[in-house]
Amino acid sequence: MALRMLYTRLRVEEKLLAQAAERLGISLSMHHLGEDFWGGGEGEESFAPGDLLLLRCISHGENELLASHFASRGWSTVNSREVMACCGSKGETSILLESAGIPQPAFRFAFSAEGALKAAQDLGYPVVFKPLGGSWGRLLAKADTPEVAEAVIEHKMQLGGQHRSLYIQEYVEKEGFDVRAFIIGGEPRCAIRRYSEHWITNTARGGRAERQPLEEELENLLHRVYDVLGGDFLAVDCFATSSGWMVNEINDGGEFRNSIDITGVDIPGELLEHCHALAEGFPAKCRKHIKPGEAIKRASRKAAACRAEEEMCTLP
Amino acid sequence: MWVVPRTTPVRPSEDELAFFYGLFGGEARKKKEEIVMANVTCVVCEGTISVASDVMEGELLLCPDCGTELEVVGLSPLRVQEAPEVQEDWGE
Repeated sequence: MALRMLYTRLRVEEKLLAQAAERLGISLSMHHLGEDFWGGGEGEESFAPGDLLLLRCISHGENELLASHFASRGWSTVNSREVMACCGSKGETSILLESAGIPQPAFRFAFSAEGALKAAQDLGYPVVFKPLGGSWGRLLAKADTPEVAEAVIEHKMQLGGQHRSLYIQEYVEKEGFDVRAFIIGGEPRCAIRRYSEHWITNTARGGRAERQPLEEELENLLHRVYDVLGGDFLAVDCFATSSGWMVNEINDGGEFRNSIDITGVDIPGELLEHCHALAEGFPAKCRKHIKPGEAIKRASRKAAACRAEEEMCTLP
Repeated sequence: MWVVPRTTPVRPSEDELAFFYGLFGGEARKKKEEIVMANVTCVVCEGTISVASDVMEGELLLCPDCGTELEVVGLSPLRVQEAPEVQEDWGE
């Protein structure tokens, strides 16, 4: 079974993943989508059933559609289509978090200008308007007054499409930073603080990064996120507030270039090792015994031991 | 008069270079003689851009003449096109 990475734009992250594969001796084939077509076309001709596909297209929509396509053929992807679909919509994410009782900023959604204004009033100003999809802090708007909210809503209505579904969040005072935490293979692995003078702290917009220790409360929160969502690789954005930690957003295609040196965690290497374990078909029970960052050979030995015991895993 | 002898720099061997580059991995890992440059023409200003032979599809290049961001869309033959602007669903 082969591990393949599908990509469009070769970002720093995709280069780091390719380098990590080489460094760790993991066979990874790179597949640029380019001019391929899918659904019985030449795109997947070279793929074999059982291949594990690491989807790293820069477009979330492309990743999600490919994940659905491959799932329909019984192939596994990182992440799964269900995880991508949830992370791809801030509304879906909020609803899932709410259903699990995971703390998050209060949110509302509406489908009309009047409804959105009432929602903003209900939350109390200031509020933040966010597009349901999108990333890198694009098209976020903080409204301090009903007048500003009206203007934002009018512009959104003109944009049409998904922008007519209005998602509104309470504005959270976060003392100049938010936290980006990484969950790899179900384990919270590291986190950074993202500082900025601007209320949008995304490092893609120039935010400064510092290491954030994985303190117990934060780690518990991340475990709860994983328990409700699953996923092989998650980048979870959190706020530290006076009343505790809360989850702001969850990303399924997280960028990590600014988090490796600061945390000292080999994020691309650990993701690749996790993918390798999946591609090798280690039983789920065994995967629990492969800690992120563990050497592949050791992980393989553990998997072999588990296989020898068939379904009964004897490892502690 | 004191004459301070200048130290003649000793050029490392190719094996030493390979070892050194290997420490850092990535694009610098190849021996010098393996890095062959290819030329491609900018689609905007027709300037010439030198590209490492191990360039990959999807990589971004910057035209040194006009500053246009170009994306590698084909390798044989080497082809570039203007890199698209950020799209609505791009990101994480």
